[in-house]
Amino acid sequence: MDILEVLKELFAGVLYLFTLEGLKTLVMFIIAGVLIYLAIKKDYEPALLLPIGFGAILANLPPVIDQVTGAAAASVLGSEGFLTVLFNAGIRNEMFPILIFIAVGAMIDFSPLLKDPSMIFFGAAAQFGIFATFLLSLVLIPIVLPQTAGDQSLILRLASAIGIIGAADGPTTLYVANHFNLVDYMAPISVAAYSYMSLVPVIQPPVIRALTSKKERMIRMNYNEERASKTALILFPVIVTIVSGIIVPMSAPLVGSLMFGNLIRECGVLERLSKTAQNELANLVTILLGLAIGSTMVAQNFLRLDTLLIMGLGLFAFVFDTAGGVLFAKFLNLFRKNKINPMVGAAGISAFPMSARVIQKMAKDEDPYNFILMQSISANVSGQLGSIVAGGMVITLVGLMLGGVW
Amino acid sequence: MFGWMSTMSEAAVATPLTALPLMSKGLLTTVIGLLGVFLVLSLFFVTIKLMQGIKPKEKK
Repeated sequence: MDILEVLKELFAGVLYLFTLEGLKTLVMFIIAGVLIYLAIKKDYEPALLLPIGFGAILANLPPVIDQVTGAAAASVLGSEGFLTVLFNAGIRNEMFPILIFIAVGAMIDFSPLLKDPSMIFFGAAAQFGIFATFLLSLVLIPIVLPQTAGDQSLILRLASAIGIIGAADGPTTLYVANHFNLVDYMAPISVAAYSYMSLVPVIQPPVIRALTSKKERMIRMNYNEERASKTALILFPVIVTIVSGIIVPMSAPLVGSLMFGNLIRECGVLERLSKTAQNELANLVTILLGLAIGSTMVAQNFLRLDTLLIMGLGLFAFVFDTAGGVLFAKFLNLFRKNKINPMVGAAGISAFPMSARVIQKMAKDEDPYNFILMQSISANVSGQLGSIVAGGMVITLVGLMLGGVW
Repeated sequence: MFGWMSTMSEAAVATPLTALPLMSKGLLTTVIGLLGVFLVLSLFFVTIKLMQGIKPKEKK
């Protein structure tokens, strides 16, 4: 080996940047940089966007060439790379979404909903965007991605996963995409789900303002201060698990883990476990989940037309979910004596608790003495339930349409 | 008396779900899916209403 070959070997990574693949790598570094910037500078879901951004940098580092075989043997990906191990251990087998839901369940307080159960219907109405996007995807996918034309199975499965982005619920989105074996599309789907979730404060307000008048946004709502009984708080997670497990069995893993976390919180005898689920478990899984998602953002999988389509449709889903909730509240107001502030309907999406906070802030901006946080929280936790049920329904129905084969 | 039921089941057998056109599958999934979400959440609503009868213990 002469000196030139040694230098070439030594600086293989630098030379790689001057190839077409290398240029794509640079684009991915910029995208990763934007995610990290949004996390640090804008404080948009930093716990998720930062690990995703850094995972994307790691996944796009120049491949290491095996000196013996001459094949690319990436240091962090490849069959034994630590990011691949993380992905297989946590996302391919649906473990991270389940663990995250135990943590989320331990954080959720259902007592505002138990005091004002009528808010639960916003959790259903705000799933409208999922199904509207699902239908739109069925139309657009064969047009924008001609390679899918004629493959009904792929179109239906992809449309399902894109629609579920509107659930504003990352774990459910991953669960559905993984269930339908959409590994090639995991990167844009998960990035769309998590980045839009973090952009709720940017996406929701203009949609709400466009659909409501100032007078409607100033509607005040009464709140029953009486506390929910401890027995009810303990029974609720158990009954919800049994009911949804019987009616929509496909939602059982997610509902079950969410409600298990909630039972730990409410039982009153497992405070240590509850705190662990809310803090250590949530933090640990978030770090690993973020890195694993970032690892899917390899240039060749991400810099494609379908990424733009998925990102666009994901945004559409978020907008229509918000609109669905607001319009449903306005519809109910036609028949109610005690009017509902229609902004509360928008909190029916599952981005908990961010959406509720956004609604309260908007209400306060209109009227500094208007307090609708508890109603928004009720709608928001209902959205959490609604999105899981919607995910289970989509998996079941699309599975039936495909005869259980894909 | 139950003739309509057999007609429906015959139609269902004649057109299995897997043979439906793409958009029909989509529309069916949308309608049943949305109704299903409302149904399940309505059941939760009834559950909560029933549980509201359980009053919190008064602190002495």
